[in-house]
Amino acid sequence: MAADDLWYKDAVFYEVHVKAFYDANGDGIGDFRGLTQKLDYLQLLGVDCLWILPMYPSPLRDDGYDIADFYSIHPDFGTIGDFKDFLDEAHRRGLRVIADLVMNHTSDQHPWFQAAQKAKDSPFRDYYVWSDDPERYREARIIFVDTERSNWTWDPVAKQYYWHRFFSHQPDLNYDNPRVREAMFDVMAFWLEKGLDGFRCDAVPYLFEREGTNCENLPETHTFLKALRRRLDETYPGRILLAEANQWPVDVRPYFGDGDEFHMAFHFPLMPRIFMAVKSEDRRPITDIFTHTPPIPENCQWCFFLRNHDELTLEMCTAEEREYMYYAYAPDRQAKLNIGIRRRLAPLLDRDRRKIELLTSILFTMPGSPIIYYGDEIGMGDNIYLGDRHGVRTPMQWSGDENAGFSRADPARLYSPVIHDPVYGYQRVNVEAQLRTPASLLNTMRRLIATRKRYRGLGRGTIEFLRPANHRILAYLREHEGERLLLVHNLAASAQPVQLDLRRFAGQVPVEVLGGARFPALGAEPYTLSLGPYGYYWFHLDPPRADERDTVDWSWTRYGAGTSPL
Amino acid sequence: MEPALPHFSLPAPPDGCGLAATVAGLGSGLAEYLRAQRWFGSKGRTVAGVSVADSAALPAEVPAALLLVEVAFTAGEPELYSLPVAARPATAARALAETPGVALARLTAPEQEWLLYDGIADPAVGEALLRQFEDAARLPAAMGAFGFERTPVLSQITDGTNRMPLARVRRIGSEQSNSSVVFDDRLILKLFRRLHVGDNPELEISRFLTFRTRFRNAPLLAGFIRHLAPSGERTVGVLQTFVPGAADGWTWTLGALRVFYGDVGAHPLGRAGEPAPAAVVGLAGSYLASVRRLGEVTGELHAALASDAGDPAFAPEPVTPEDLAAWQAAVETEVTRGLAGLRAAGRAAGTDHGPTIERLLRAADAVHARVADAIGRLGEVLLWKTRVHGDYHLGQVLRVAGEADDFVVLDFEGEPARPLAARRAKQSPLRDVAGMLRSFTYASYAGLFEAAGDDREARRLLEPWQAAWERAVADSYLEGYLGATGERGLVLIPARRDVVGLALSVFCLERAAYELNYELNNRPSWLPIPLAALERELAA
Repeated sequence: MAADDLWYKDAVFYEVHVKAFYDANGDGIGDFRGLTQKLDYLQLLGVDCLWILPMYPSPLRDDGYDIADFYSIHPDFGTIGDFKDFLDEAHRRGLRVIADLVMNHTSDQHPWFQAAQKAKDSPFRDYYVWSDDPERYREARIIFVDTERSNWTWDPVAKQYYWHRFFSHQPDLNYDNPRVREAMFDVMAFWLEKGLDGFRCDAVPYLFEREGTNCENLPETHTFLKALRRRLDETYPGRILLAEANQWPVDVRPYFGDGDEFHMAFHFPLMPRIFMAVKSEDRRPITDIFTHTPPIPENCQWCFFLRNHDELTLEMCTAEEREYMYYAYAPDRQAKLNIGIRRRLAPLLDRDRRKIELLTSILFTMPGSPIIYYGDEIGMGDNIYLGDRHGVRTPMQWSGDENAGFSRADPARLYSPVIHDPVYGYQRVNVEAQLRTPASLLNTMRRLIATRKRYRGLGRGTIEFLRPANHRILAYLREHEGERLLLVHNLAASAQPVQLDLRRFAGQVPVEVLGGARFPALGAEPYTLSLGPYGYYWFHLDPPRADERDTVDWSWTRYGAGTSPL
Repeated sequence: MEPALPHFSLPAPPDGCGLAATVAGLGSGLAEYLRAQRWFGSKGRTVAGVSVADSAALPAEVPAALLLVEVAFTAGEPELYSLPVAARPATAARALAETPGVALARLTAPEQEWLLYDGIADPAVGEALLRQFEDAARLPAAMGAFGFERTPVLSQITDGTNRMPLARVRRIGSEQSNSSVVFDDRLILKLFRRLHVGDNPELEISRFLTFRTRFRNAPLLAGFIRHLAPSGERTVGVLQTFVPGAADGWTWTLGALRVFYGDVGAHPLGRAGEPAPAAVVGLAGSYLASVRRLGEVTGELHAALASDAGDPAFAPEPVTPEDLAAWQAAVETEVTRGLAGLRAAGRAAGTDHGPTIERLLRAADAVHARVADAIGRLGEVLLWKTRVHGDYHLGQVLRVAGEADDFVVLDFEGEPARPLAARRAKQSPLRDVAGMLRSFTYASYAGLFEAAGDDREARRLLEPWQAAWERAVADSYLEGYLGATGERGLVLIPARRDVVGLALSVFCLERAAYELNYELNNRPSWLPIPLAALERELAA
């Protein structure tokens, strides 16, 4: 494996909807030509890899996760040629691009399903899972309990039941059929040939079904995924697979295999616990979750996020934790959705700039690769009255111009209204204004991203939590090939002192890398720091410079008899 | 075999990358080849030179390449044509060598002779092109690239897979502006010959109708090819769904007329010379019902083309006084030219339309006053212009026989000889309607000429039936059209029938004057068709 093939371990990801970013043709819907025009901005922001939400033709009954054709681009977003131009331009700027791919199911509008429905002897019949008996696989849970009553739906045309783990308009593909497995590899090869750098694979635990099991995480699924990875590595080295499996880390762990399945997987339970930790001013929700996070192979990486295109999911929380989260972050009933909270980062944090920075700092220094959700870098707001999760998918706010500078179309024609309330409205919150303001959130984000990229240890290093007596302080060491970083966060709304036990590094000098200040060297006693409300430090532990060595006499530590000169 | 085929020696067997140089080396032979093609537009101009402007190797089972050739003329702007070429060993290319207009040159290479030919004639090249669509490939060319695009419609045709099993690739008749290849009677590739910067209206409208409207009486867009270069993007071809087993509207209408005139001959009233309208309806009944449907389809097409007020390329716009002045000028130019032609022809001996021509020429002064008056009255109502078909006649529709009659509208290119901007310009949709009405009239006469031959008495007896058929068909068609537009609340078509009639008569007059010129120069025996129209319009 070439060294650069591990690029994803150092990368900052940026999640973006094509429809929401920039509308180049003035039809009210963002498109690939628009995204291409905004690559300069993304380069300026400093992210490394874009994650594109589903871009395929779709009846859009599940926001594009119901794919009706794997081989083209939704006409609203442009053409494959536009997509190819976008990839070329991104690569020219050193940016990589991964895209969503739904392997588990298709839309019922997909030609495969339409052919399968019509005739039992169609070669496509076995692309899906059919049964005369809706009692099979009874142990599989129903995921969308609000809308679906069974995982089987009667098809009046096919005169059989078909299997679906999600919506009934999303029939599951039959991965026991070798032609389906081959077809899915063909699909991936098609896009990889265009230059795509990988896939974010949706809903991977459900590919196979077996009687007497819950039909999730089956060994057959892993066998197939390993074969897929092998073929990917042979033909397209350096391209990655990112797994979406909304499960506990210990259950996600098998998807890394022995470093021969997925390159990356989302770490779902950390995210709500970061919010919990800040609200309760207690680091333990965060440190505890890492005791439940197993080590992963050297060539694998966790993916962390604060917010994404879905609701802030609380599935990986206990009932008590969930109640606490609703109480703390969703006082408005309208903000609740399914088992989660449909809000963006800034509104969740009461638009408190200090908290936004603090959470971003934690995200950027955790042992994995961070994902920024588009718009969160400028503190965009949401509109929880738009229904479903549309409130966090409003047009990107580029400027104070009409339609937030997103589109030249009539406002009524936009796929979604722009945010125009007095607090988060585009006249107040937009890229243009923040670029002009040196201390803006956007410029702070740029500085954090640039700094993170200077220290490989933040992407690749080990993590060791320090356990100071003050629970309001979250402090940890990241270490990679001799590079040692100390990260300290104050989770509290008040200034806090902390004493960190760093005696084993005595003599080294913490350098605050965001500002460049050299702090007093570490000594033989616990190291004392004070942090302002929601304050944070990123230290690099430097060997002492000659002048610093001269000012401190360490001899007393060796003999244990002297008096500390401090 | 064409005796004058140029000969060319190659140091090595031809390959796709080298074909461009070989074609460029043909020099005047290439110019001669182009001049002989039906799709070569400027036959009247003197060619100063032909060069290969860009080329890309096409991965195919034979050496093949996509070329753009630039034709320079002694005066005026150069023209750009697309020319896919391929080569096969001469022994394996006998059929291609014998098809007129296909072979470009003989190539002598070590070991064997090769034939260089228009690749569109070779099923292997057709298949290779389809595979490029499937892969959404971008073929790098010397100056730019050929970009192939696929749409969701292609996946519908290929059952969602990346490779369509292909049994039969066939070329169908060459058109004035393009060449077509049909894949398994499911898809048709239309390769444009003369290329312009910008989207070809065929691509623009097909894409709009397929993805932005519910109109399904046109082929669906499955893919397209563009040449991408710093000088601009040009549409090279479109891939669309193919409607198998359908007759074009002209052939279908002539068939119906054959039956109609045959039945008239046997009808008791047929000999009397005065047809009762009821008898026409009885004799042409099922055709009239079909034509009403064609009128509806036309109306639905116009409604679809006008359905997106937010898209500047398609948003309907009010007709301005400048538009009206331009309409007036266009009609007057055609009429003046037509009458001048008539005057010259009238002096020539041997036309038997003397009295008609005399009457028309006497009315000449009144014509301009009538046109000015009509335009003035149209200026008093609110008229709209929209994107239209642009070259609408019976040859542009397919009749799909089934449980219920239906029609598919083809060819949104507009008139290929006109500049792209003019073809994309918005016009009154009633201009399309007038085109179709004139087409019915032409068909009714063509059927009459066929039925009566040179028998003057038979013609005299059938003429009233022709007129009655024409009227009944126009009524049915307009009934369908107005039902699908004005009566369904489409404000773009004036609600007042007299305004519709006035606009139609202006557009029909312009069309008839154009036909007059055409028939005077090309087909004097068909002169009665435009003459009758002019006489009727002017007498009204």
